Amino acid sequence: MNITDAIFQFFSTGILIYSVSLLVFYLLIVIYSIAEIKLYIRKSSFTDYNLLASSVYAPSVSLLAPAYNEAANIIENVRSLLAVHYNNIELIVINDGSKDDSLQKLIEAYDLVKIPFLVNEKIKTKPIRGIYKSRNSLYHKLIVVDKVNGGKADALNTGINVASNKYLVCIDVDCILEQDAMLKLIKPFLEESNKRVIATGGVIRIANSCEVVNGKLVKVHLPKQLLPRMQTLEYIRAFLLGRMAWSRMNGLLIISGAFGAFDREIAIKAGGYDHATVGEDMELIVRMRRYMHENKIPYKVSFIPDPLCWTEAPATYKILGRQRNRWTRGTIETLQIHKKMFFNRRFGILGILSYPYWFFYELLAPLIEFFGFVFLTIFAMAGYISWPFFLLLLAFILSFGFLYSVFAILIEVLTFNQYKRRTDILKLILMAFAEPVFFHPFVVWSAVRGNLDFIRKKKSWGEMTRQGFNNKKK
Amino acid sequence: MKILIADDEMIMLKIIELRLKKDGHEVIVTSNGQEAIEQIKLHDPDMIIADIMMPFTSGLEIVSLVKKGSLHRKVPIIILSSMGQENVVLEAFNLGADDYITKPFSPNELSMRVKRLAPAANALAKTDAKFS
Amino acid sequence: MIEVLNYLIHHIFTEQTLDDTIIFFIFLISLSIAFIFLYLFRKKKRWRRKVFLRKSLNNFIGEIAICESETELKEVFSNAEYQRVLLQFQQNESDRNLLISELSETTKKFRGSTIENILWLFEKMDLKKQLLKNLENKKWHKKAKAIQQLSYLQQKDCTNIILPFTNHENDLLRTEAQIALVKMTGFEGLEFLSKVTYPVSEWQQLRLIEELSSNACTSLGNIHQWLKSENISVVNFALRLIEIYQQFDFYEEVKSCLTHSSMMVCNNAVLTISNISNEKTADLLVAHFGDYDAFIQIKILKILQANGSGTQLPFLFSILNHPDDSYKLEAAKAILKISDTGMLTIEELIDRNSFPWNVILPQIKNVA
Repeated sequence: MNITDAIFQFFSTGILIYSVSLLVFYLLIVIYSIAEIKLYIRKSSFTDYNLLASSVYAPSVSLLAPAYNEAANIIENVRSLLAVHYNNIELIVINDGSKDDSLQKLIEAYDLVKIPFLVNEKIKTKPIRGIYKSRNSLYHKLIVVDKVNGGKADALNTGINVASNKYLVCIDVDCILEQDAMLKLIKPFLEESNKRVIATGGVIRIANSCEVVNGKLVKVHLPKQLLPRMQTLEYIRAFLLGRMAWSRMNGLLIISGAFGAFDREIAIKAGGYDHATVGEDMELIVRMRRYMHENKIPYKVSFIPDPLCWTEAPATYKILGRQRNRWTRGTIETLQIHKKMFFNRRFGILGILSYPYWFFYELLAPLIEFFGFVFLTIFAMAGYISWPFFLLLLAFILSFGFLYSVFAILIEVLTFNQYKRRTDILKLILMAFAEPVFFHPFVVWSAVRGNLDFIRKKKSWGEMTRQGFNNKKK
Repeated sequence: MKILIADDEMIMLKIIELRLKKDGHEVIVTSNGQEAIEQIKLHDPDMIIADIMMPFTSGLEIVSLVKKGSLHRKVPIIILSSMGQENVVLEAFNLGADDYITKPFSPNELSMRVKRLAPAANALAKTDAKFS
Repeated sequence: MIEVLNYLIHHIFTEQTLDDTIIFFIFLISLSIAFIFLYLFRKKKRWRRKVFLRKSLNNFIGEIAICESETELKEVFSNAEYQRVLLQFQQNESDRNLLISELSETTKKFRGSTIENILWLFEKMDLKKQLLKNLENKKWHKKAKAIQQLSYLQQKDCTNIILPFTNHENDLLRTEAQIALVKMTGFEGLEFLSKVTYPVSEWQQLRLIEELSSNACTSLGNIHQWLKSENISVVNFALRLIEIYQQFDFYEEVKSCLTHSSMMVCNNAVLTISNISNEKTADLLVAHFGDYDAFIQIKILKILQANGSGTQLPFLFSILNHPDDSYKLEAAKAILKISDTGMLTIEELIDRNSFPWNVILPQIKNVA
């Protein structure tokens, strides 16, 4: 047994053990998720959300929408946010020192005037230049905060300071919300009697090619372009399978930054968003959970499998790459900040299961895939493993991936069934098979680059050019 | 009177249609915004009753088109919608809607409101006739 | 160790096992895809049946809905054509359930005599048997659906069948039963509060309150009992009811809740008492001020803005030095509301050019 043999055996067995354990884990998650989602849908069908959302007795919510250089669509976006179906709400738009004329446009469109407003700076942020409210009673729910540029986390923290209600909802300004989204998102806070719910999140869906009229989603279509279509499948997998199961175990580490609700008091006590990381949404959840553990308060982070929010997905490799790069760096940064939790029993499920899972299967997975593939190819070329065996291994991994995707589509069809046409489902299944060619390697590569960039310590919120929503079906 | 109704729910359309027919009106039934616009152009109704959330074109857009836009006609419009929130009601009236009824509603009540707006419809028809 | 790895590679992770596993995966994939399309097909079939039922009965239900007298109802119902159509949907359980569903959905959309007509139709179609049978179904969500439909169809004689479910351990059955009783019998339906041992969540309370809002407040007779309940959520709910319906009669009981052992009850009691306040309330709240959470303390200051009087001024002036600026703001607002000379006194006590007063003063002047 020479060194090369040993190394070869170590790698190939390692890869096999890794993928088998992943398989077992995934299967457990599939079973868990199906049960939980079915339960949610059944219960949900009994409530008239429409009626309750206009109730004067529903809890008050502060909706925070940070905006940076969104002048092209800002008026439309604010209009659709103001139209959100919920009675007791205040909409706080935070202009994070935009270099364009976003603020001017808002002032004109909504008849805004600067008012004296005391902001209790519970979390330290960059200075506020002014607070604006409308003279028109039609827009009395709107507050616009103009501040010095400080990044998304800083903008959100300012929003937290300005907000006056118990529950915060943080939203990306160009998100399209479902009719009952707000109420469904807040519902978990009101349902638990024994534990304190500190945050809730829902499912984000891809809005590309969907019909949007007056800020409301009118018709759902499968995205026409390849990349958004691939991401549709990816999001279904991630949300319906992954997060559901984690939520069941109260081990959910992440809530989408695009649309999530928080308990304001706990968010402040935990210290607000951290602007030192690009993954501030994930990092805050982890820190809030940690706060509750350290103070021994029973709590819960809830996840609602309902598609609540629709957002535009990147349609070009360039922008997709940047997004994935940023997500990777965010994950690494968050895991690094909270490395104390790694296999630490003090943090319960979080320490024993969630954190290690994220570390091994979310963070390391792309790296292992990448290097695994590279090494296996080298071994095949060097003759240590036969080409047939190499191909067989590849087929094994690919077919497992297909199976997982098909399971995800199955769950989607059995539950929410957003894409009702059979041709759409067929197209989704086709995507599952096309993914290893057009999508997955690119995503893995972006993650690897994310790791490299992290090591090189690049930090930026990144620009994401907006395509604007389809307002009419072409 | 010739009344056009627009709603995407079958039972809603049927009950309103039967109720108005019982009152002696002629009823044109449409199930989405686009159809409604076409039928408005074709039949020139004396009154329009429209839901807001409909495929293709929302009821509010129809109000806007009829009161100020390309479909310009002097026709009273009643909005009949399950959306009761303040900003929607205000927007409807801002755009020129003559009445706003929230669902769930009573068909008898609707009948009364139609009667109430009817003199206005007739008066407008008379003034239109005067000037044409 | 190396032997184990060796063994694994040559006996378990062999080409053969990989082969087999891949074939197994392909089999599962094909199975799943087949299942997907089968399911979609079945779903479409069920949906088509529903649409067919709707189309066939649209005219019938429509005419029934707008009938204005019993004779009219009987006339429409006995129409031979309608009878024929109706018959085809009463043959099997699945169709009967579609009918029940259609009728109960229709009641949600209308008000007034239309609902009475639909209820009349329900009786005539003899569907109650089916609905009661559904109530016996083993699956809890089918039971819950039956309870809900019974309430939409106002089957008030079933209230004693539903009552035991109001304390069921399955929370869907429990909550739906509670809502159903309140829907059918208004405030009397709240009698379950005396017996319920499971918590009534805030969400459930919201639903109950919305359900009650369409009724005039008749009997809140058992509130005495509820306010002393062991079930904290019941106490909280009772306080909310008193607040919303401004039941001044219960002032003393609410007052004693201000010092309850549960913090949540104390907080809610503050909100309630501000709605049924008298001249002594403001002083009462000031006396207990230190006992409460920050959130409630701010609330109390806001209450003083509306209900305050001269006797609270010394307290309010002391708050002007509170470390938290929000307190300063609310106290200043209150002082302004209570006293005509309040503004002058404030300006004497503080430095109007320093933070936070340079923001607070313009702000409160702006609103006043």
